[in-house]
Amino acid sequence: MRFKLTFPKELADKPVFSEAILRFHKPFNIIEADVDAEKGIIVASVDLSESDLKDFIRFFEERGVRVELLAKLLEVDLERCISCGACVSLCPVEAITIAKDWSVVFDEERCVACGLCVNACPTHALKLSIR
Amino acid sequence: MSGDRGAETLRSYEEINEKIRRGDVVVLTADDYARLADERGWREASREVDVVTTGTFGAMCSSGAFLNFGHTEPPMKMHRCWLNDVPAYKGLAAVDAYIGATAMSETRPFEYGGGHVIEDLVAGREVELRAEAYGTDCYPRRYLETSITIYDLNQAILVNPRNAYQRYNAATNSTDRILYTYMGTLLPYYGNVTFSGSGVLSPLYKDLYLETIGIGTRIFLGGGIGYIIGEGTQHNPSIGMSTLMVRGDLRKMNPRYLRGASFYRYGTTLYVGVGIAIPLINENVAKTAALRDEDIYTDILDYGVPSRSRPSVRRVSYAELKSGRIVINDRSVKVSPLSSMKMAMEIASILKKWIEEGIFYLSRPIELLPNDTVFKPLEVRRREPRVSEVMRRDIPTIKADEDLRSAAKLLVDHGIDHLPVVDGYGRLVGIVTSWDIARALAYGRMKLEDIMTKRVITATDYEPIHSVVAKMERYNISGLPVVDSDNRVIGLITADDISRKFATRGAVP
Repeated sequence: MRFKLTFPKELADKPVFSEAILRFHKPFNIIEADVDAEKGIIVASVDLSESDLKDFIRFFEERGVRVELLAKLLEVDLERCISCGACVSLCPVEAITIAKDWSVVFDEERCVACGLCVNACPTHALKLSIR
Repeated sequence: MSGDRGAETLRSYEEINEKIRRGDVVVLTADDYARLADERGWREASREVDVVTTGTFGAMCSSGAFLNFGHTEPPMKMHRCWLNDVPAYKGLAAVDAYIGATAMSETRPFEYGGGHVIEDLVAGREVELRAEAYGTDCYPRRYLETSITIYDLNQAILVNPRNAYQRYNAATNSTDRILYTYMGTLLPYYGNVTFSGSGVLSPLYKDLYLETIGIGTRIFLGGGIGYIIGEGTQHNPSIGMSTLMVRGDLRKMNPRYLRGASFYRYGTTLYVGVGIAIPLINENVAKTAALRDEDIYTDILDYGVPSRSRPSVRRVSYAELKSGRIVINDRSVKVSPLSSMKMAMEIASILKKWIEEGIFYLSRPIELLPNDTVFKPLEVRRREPRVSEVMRRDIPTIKADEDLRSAAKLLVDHGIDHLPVVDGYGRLVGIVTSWDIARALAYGRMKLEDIMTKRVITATDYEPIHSVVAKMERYNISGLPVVDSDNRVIGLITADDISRKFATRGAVP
């Protein structure tokens, strides 16, 4: 499951994310972190059961952190995609592959939002939903 | 092999067209024909098959369209004009223009360009036309802003000076930074490979000696019907890099097969769909039409070398490229096609269907394309100053195991800021600057090896000065060791040397 956390600046000196790791005893994979004077954003993924998920959301919301669950990180405009494959060799996690019939196939679940494919797409068919 | 180029010894164009009329012509796409020939031999396969269809769908920068807008009231001799802010060429009569694929929008450069204008026109979308003129007695109007669609135009004719390369080089990048090229994004340290061309489906490769392809050949172009009007620019048949010049009526084309595109930090272009039906008129044609991806080779060039003669990293077949991974320096590297194999197959299949349904007949070329032209480089005649004219030759070097103090002394005694570090054979292994010495003092490091820069940017003695200046800018450095082909230090060139040289001469290169 992927999620985006938005921290207000009042929490700048609080180790909220580390507390969550200790509390839920799960390995979190941080996909993107962006911190400036106004706010902090962390995009991460973790495997959680249904019941843990509710606790997880409550944990952050009680501390003033906004939680958004992300279905997919990469948006593909299949009308614009010409299945050229320019993106395929740039993907560091095999989220983009070429099928037997030469269609370019996107596995948004595996995407880590590195963004290399977005700029490389000649027809502007790709977009990251977190940016 | 068999007789004259273009000889119709297996079957004639008339025989094929008669079969199309009767509805019993045998057409295979080039990949299916190659498979059949692989199983039964090309000789037997060519007895059954009359025509082989090919296709390619790739970025073709030398593309564009002639447009005729018709006259306004009062009329205008457009001196400059823009379509959706993309400048079109106006060195033609009053309301004729040529919109080129790589011309970029003045308001959205690198994002939208001539290729997109062509796609928008073909899709029937409205395009903003803006024009300026100086006004004449016969053409008084001086300014125009309006919107047009393709249906308003008198003519909209795609005329592409260079399309459908027989094959193209693949690309990789040896440097330590990402390169953004017309071959797409190239990751550092040979991080990936990109290639273009459809291999087994490549129109010009399937008729390798250009025996059926010439002026007047009817083709699939952008979803409509087009014609070959000659060899393309940079046509280079001697090394298997022939090209085509083509034309077709834009109003009968389909935006699925003409797509505006842009390559990040390179610019805009147009993806063009081209398909050619190759009649198996003789054994040469029957044999080359059967070539498989395994038989078609190209070079992987290092785009990290900013030269027109980029070194080849290795030869590679289209079969290897299409497998998705190839080996460079013992490492498996991912490969990206840039032209769409899926669309290429679709185009070859559509062309096959057109012929089977009697919509598309084959035409004998009026004249075959030249097969002996070469592609010459442009030599720069104006004298460009080179490193050898500016570099210092009598410079000290130092070995990596010597101490900091000797390095400092050499810098001071020679009044220089850069000290190349060499091995026992005089080969460059690092560089130390006066700033490195200061830093070493500040942090208490005493060994040269610990403070020297090991990845040194170098120059060669025949390199033009402007290329060295570009390196100084890019890497934010002020001096480069000059090395020979064995990486031995033969001198040093610094920003000071360059400015001194051109200050006294009164001219900057």
